Amino acid sequence: MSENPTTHTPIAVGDGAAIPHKSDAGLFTAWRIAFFGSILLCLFLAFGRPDQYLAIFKFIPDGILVTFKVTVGGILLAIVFGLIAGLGRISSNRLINGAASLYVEIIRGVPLLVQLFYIYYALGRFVKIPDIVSAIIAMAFCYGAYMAEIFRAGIQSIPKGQMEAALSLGMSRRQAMRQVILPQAFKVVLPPIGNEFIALLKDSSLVSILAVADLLRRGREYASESFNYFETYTVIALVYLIMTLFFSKLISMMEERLNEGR
Amino acid sequence: MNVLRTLIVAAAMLAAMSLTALAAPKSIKVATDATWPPMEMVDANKQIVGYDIDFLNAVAKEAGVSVEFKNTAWDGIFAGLDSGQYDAIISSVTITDERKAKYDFTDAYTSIGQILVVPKTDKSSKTIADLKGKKVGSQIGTTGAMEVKKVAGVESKTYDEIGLAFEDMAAGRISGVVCDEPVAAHFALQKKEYKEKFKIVGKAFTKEGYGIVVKKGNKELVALLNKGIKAVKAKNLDTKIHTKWVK
Amino acid sequence: MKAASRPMIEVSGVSKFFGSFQALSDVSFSVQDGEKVVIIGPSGSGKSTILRSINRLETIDRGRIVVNGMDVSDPKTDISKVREEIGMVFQSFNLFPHKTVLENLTLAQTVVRKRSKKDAEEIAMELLRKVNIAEKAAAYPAKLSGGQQQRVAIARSLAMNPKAILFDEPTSALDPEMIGEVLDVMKNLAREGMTMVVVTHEMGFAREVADRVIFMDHGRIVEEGTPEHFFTSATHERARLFLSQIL
Repeated sequence: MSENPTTHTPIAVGDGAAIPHKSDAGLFTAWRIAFFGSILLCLFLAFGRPDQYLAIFKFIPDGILVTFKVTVGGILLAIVFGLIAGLGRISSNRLINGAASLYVEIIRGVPLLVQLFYIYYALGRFVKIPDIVSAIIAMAFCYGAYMAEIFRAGIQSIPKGQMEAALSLGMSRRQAMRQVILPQAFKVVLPPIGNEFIALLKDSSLVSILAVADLLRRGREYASESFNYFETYTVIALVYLIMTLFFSKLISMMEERLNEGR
Repeated sequence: MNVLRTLIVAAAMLAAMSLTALAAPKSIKVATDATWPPMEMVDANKQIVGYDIDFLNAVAKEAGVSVEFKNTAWDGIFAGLDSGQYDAIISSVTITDERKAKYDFTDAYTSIGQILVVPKTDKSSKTIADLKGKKVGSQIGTTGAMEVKKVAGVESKTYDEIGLAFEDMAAGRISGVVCDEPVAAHFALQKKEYKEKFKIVGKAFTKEGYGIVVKKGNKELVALLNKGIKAVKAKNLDTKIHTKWVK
Repeated sequence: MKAASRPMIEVSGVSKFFGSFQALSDVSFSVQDGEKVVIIGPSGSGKSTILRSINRLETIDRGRIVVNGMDVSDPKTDISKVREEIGMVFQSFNLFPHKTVLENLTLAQTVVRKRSKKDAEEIAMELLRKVNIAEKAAAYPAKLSGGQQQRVAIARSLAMNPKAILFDEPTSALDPEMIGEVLDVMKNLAREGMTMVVVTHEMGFAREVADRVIFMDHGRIVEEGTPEHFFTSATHERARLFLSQIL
């Protein structure tokens, strides 16, 4: 049998939560213990010691929703930014390539926290947009740069022959990219994008410094008025943990599905 | 031989510990959130300055102790006191019942009130209640934030630093800021970039006293500081400090 | 019309450099409508490079290539129009792994030729039957053997109704037992009168099918003639040496 041209080199894993595949028995078990353990602990705290904890659980739900919105909005917009910049990075047009490379280099060289402050307050000077939208744009602008590198690597991992075959059939470069290269690249980039999603979920806590009322900010508000710092941050940590574990499971299920499709 | 040495060392340590416990604190560590001008802020020379700083230095002098200031973010400033990172907080802390339940306060050393700042373009709003359906900013965990949350229909937005709230109001993201009177005056009346944009509306709508915070049960330090505060007030030093910082 | 008398492919004075390495030196030949030309030569002789230059997968540095009346070497020429008319079959098949066999055949038909899905599928199924692989229409390429994949690739190329097909070592990546099935498909095509340019090491195929054989070495055409002439009385020593090694 000839070599299967569809096998691509996998892209190195980022700093997101480890994504539990069934094949990794240890991690899979750990996932179950952590996920169900956190939920049980939350239930125990809320109903076992309601005087200290129930009020916290009542205070934070809208913060969870905001964290969720920032994360999902951020990752979707980051994919758009990343795709545009990633295509720019492999463009033969020197101007486009230069602009995309500059974006990636600048963003990757500035800490996320600084970028958040900068984009949030810089945007505020010129346009009137709601704070949560500014926060999403700021997160996406940063993650887009990392996403660009994932897309670039993903596109470049598709064998050259694929583009040549598409072009030989009379497709334009754009048609070949859309019909042939990107659908294959998406499959390659899905695991690293999943990792970015989890990393973004955790980094979304940084938007609390922008006075966006996310999960962490709600926790800080509660703690700063009740002075129950330990109890509050225990709950905040548990809720973040449940969210990241839930989403990493969801992503691993999506990946398994995609692989079954073949 | 070894046992004897251990015993001697232990005895020496015990003696040293009881000695320090008996002696009055010569130096105290005090936390302040230096983002609250003119009460406490960092000047161009990176020094922590302001009303509270001058005031506590005067108090310490009267009480016969020295003070070391520690710039600490407001959010968590109480947690640091809990964990013993410093002995006291002077940071425009209003004495409230909630806070008194967890911490000990000195006598009030000055009285202020919360006040509302709005953009100059807002011609009608006089109170927080006039801003129903809009966002009003304040610093996280302050009495200002608690006042905003009391008003139904107003969306409270809390900031790590009050300056960020004013910047967000300049960007049009919020419609008002609530903070301590002197701070409002600093931002809305004195700061060049905001003087044109903001105005203070109405009068202070709360009556609050600032106190110095210490860990619950630290009676000794409270007594010492109260002694100092009394002496400062008797000498009218606080009026001088007030004129210097609050115009 | 004058164009009718012109060759389908006309290569004149083509040179190409990879850095300082000269891959092609002054290569000229032409292919008439319906003609089958086989290009042979040792590896690195430039035979694949000249083939890939015909549909501009490689750009050339000097010379001129005209295909079906369109100047490929002119950067202003819309190369897609040329490629629509000239099929290409690769050594590594290059089927689209994310599409089924049927979709591999219909994609360019619908995207480039703007045929309806129904028409495209009808044409595709007919061609799959022609290359004896209709039963795999719904399978993904990864499930196919190399020989099957290459037959699908030929059918994919035919689906565009090309005026000529370029074959770049179509059997070199195949296990020996699969070479025959691919060559059979190519022989059938030749009998039907397809214009073909084939780079290959299959001398049996060259002898049986070729109207003309071109032997290349070091980026030059060394010998050109009918298979009889080439295999029995090659004039050039290097061509004779190559034949003695390969036969």
